[in-house]
Amino acid sequence: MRRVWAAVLSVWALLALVAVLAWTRPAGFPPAATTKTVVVRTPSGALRTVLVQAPHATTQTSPGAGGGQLAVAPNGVATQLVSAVPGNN
Amino acid sequence: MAARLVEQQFRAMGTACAVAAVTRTTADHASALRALAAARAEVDACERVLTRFDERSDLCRLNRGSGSWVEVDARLVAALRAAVLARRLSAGRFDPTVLPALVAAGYDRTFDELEGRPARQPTGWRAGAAISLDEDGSRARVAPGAAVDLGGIGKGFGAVRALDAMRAAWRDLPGGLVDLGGDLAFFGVPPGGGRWRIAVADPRSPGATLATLGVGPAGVATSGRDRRRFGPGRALHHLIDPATGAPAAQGPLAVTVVARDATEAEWHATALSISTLAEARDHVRRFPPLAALVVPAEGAPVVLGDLPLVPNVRIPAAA
Repeated sequence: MRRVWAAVLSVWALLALVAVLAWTRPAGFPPAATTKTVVVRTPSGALRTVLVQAPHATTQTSPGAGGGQLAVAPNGVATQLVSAVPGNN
Repeated sequence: MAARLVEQQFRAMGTACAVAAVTRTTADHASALRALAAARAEVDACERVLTRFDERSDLCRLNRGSGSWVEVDARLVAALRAAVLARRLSAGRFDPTVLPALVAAGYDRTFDELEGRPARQPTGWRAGAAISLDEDGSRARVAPGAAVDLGGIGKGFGAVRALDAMRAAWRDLPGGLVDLGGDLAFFGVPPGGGRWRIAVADPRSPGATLATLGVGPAGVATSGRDRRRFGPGRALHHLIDPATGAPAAQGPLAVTVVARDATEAEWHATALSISTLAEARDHVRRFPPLAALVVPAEGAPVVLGDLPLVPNVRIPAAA
């Protein structure tokens, strides 16, 4: 009988934990500055896939829409996109 | 959960704006939203007080009452104090009393409403009009006939205030940024640590990035004659040279400044945008840790000071 009650309590504890997690989780995050891959043309003319890490912000003379893309290699070092032409080689 | 950047975008001060806060756990989300709301409220409050395009603003009341003490919001007193200090430090290259010259040149309404009329000469205008401040009484006074424009410092000032509001609303804020049309204020560290990455828009190639900066808590601003142009043939720009009262003939196409905060960054950028390269070099040298990226109309961009450029990586030719 003790084992039955232990099992029931475990199930209820699990359900309570799931409820708490669901309650505290926000409905949805706005998109964050994420990393994605793009294709760039190298100085030799070849195409290469690199990781692109979006800048957190763009500075410019206001008003106006901002900036272009920044390519960041896996080691975290950035370069400017030479060109991004997926599917065009 | 990995750290994230919770961001909201909106329009204010006649331009595109954004506020963002770093969250480290899902439980931080509500605090982040509270901080962003506080930042947006502060931006709105600054715009209501500092704009010259709303007759009900404190700035417009101050200008209408030139020669008399006018009770104004404490934000305007603080912004005027910063502007007067900037005028003194820049030896008049930045001057908040250029409004009559700016209006005479044709920038007499918001950019959305501007008409292509020819520029006039400002009559009876002189740079350096007196601005008196009574901080205890939250009052200000401009010299009779003078008028103030905070266009060269107001967005930076608003960004600093908004960032302070974020931090006050969320004491444990790990990091955040405020972007008011490219005038930027940063606090703490971005998601993932390290430095905030900032793309510098290329004024000679719309949509492209000229360089990338990496900064910690700091202010970044860009000023230039590449966008805000008006008049017949868009031949005029909004950067008034206080020495002449006319749109500046000299100066780069655009200049990006990194400074200790966004207020400083904006007024330095305004001053450098009407300076020759030699003058700009001297100016940056006088205000460490100020640094700038100067983009002339032609020729290579020039780095002044210890600009925190993110180094470019060479893509292997054999890739």
